[in-house]
Amino acid sequence: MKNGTSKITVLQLFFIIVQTQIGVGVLSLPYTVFNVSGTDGWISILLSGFFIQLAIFIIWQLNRSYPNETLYDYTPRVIGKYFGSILNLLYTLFFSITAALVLVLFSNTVKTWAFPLTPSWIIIGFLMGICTYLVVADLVIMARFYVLVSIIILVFVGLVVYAHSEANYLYVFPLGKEGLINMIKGSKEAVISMLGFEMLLVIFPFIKGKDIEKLKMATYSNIFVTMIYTFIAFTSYVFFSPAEIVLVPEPVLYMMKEFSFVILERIDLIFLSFWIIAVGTSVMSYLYLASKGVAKLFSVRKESKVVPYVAFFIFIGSIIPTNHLLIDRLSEIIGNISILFIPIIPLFLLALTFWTKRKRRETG
Amino acid sequence: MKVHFILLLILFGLVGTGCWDTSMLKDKSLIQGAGLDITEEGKIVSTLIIPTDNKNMGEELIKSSVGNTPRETRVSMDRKVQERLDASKNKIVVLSEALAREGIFPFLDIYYRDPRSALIARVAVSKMAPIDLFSIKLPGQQPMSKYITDLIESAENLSFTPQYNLQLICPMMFDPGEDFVVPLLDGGKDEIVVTGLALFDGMFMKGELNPTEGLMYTLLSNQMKREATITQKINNNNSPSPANYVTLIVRKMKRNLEITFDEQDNPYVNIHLILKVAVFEYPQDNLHKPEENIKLNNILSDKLTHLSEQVIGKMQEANCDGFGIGRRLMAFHPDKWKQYNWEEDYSNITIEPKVTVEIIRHGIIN
Repeated sequence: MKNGTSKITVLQLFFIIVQTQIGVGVLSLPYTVFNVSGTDGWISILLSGFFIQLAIFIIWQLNRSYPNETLYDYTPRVIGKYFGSILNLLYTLFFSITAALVLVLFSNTVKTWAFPLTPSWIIIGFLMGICTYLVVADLVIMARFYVLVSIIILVFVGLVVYAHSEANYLYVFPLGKEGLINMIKGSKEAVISMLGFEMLLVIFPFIKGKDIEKLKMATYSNIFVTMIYTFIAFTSYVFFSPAEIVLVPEPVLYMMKEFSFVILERIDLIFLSFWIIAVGTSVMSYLYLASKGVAKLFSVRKESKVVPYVAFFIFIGSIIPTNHLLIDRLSEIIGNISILFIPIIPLFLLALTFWTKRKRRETG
Repeated sequence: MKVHFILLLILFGLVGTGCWDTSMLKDKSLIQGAGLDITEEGKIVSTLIIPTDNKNMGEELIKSSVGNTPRETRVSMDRKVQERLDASKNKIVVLSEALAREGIFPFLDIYYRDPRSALIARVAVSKMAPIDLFSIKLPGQQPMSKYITDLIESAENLSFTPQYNLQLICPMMFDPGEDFVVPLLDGGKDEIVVTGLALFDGMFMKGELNPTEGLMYTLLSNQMKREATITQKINNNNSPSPANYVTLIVRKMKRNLEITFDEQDNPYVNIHLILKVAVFEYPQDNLHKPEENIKLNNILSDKLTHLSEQVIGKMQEANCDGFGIGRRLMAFHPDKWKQYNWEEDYSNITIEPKVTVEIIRHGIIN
């Protein structure tokens, strides 16, 4: 397995983006969005799908200008060697911190819902171990794994559909009562849970296919994830009354708690175990992004060599915060930072690229 | 060497890490049913039904303890049983009437907060103190928890009560536009009876319905489950007395709820219930004659309309918006909803029921 030489197909790209996007946020998304846009939250999620599409377009345009390079390769060319390295460092840090945050939220949820006594370093350590193993392998191996585990999305949707047997659809009416402003504000919250398409910044050159095909696949995956999230949020809003949902920070799991089938009870735990896979794939993606960055910064040829070190630092970072208020605060801050790193900086880079190109054309 | 070490590590990880959160059935005492009561001094009396041992689920113990909060009583109860109490298989939560009238949510927090507790447990209000109710000596060897759950389940199947559990009542407890009801129990010498429904306003119990009214409530709120049987008196002077009555079994039903407004924007609610019934008992016979059928249809429609008015009267008195009228106003007439103070206005609005009965079958004799 040689790094950087093997390429993934566009279909694998679809699953990579879907799996990176669906992650830790799916359990609490209906709640976080509700806090801003009320029962119109599901419309906010649709809106955020639209905003994400814009961001995907920006990233695609940017990467298209440097067809065989990753984000880390072309930043020095756009803004100079110095600033490029600084920006690469910032991106690497951002991806590592995001990975750590995902792990913190993951272990917190697992501890509250299922294993109150198991120490978080064990819970995080196990997940991190598996992630490291796969990221060390190769992007192609990761992609195959992502495709394989995508069956869990069917389980998610299947279980959520079941909640409609106890739903009261009147809870979401009247539509749009919170107003457009709140809906747009809420879509910011939703975007944070739907991050993952920024994988495109780095994996773009490793995809087989025409540029337009890549854009198409990224768009399909965005539509797919937006639909699933909208459906999950909508279901939560018709299952819980508006006054109750503010009490339930993980509405998706809480709703599973009420189900009981003939031989199965505690469906929430079953849902939780499938969710762990979704979290794992997100962590893998961020670990991959961060390792690429570290490899570039230290000019290491084989990035698989740096993966264990990066994983170790992320692991250490993720076992420190335990207070739930601190964790909430951290996720808020990182959510805000990600708005800067994902649409804004690429947009800025894109503008610079256009500008230099034109200048070159004028002078040349 | 290195490979061996890694294999050993993996083996240890897979086998060993489960130890932190093991919960062995033999160390657990699975709560089968729970009762909560409040004393005059404001102390909580919590009564639990637990199996004498987990291998033999048939025999049950009733344990009770007093404290300031339900959780405190649970903890002090843990000092009375050998194993650790676990609410993950709880089937029923019985609340005393006094407690239900004080507002139930603070007492149920323990069930909603704990990830292990069973939210599918049914909820009931008891006229008798739960401790006495659970201590009733049942004939035979019936376990108390199974008896009460089966009792409520059969009441649900016969539509004496809508089917709710801890989770399903929760959205309505907080929603200003919709309220719920739970079955009302009472104990006899060696039996427990579903004596009707407890009407809730938010989290407070405010009134009750008798079984016939409860049945009518279930029909009016469109929650009929399997079947519903209604006996109505339609004559006064026949003898023997059963000849004065007719018993119906509802086969199909349709409910239309319509909200209109008068000039002052007050809501005016029309509930039209169409019941397609089979005659279950009717000693006067002659049901093959069309005119007899039509006569009976009309009498029954009048009787049941009257019964519905009585039910709605009691609901409004208890401020229990069991039909979710407020929720409909919020959803479809948000501007008008803002003008109301639903807590007070609900009991003054006009709700007009109309029941149409149609006999579609009459059993195997005329």
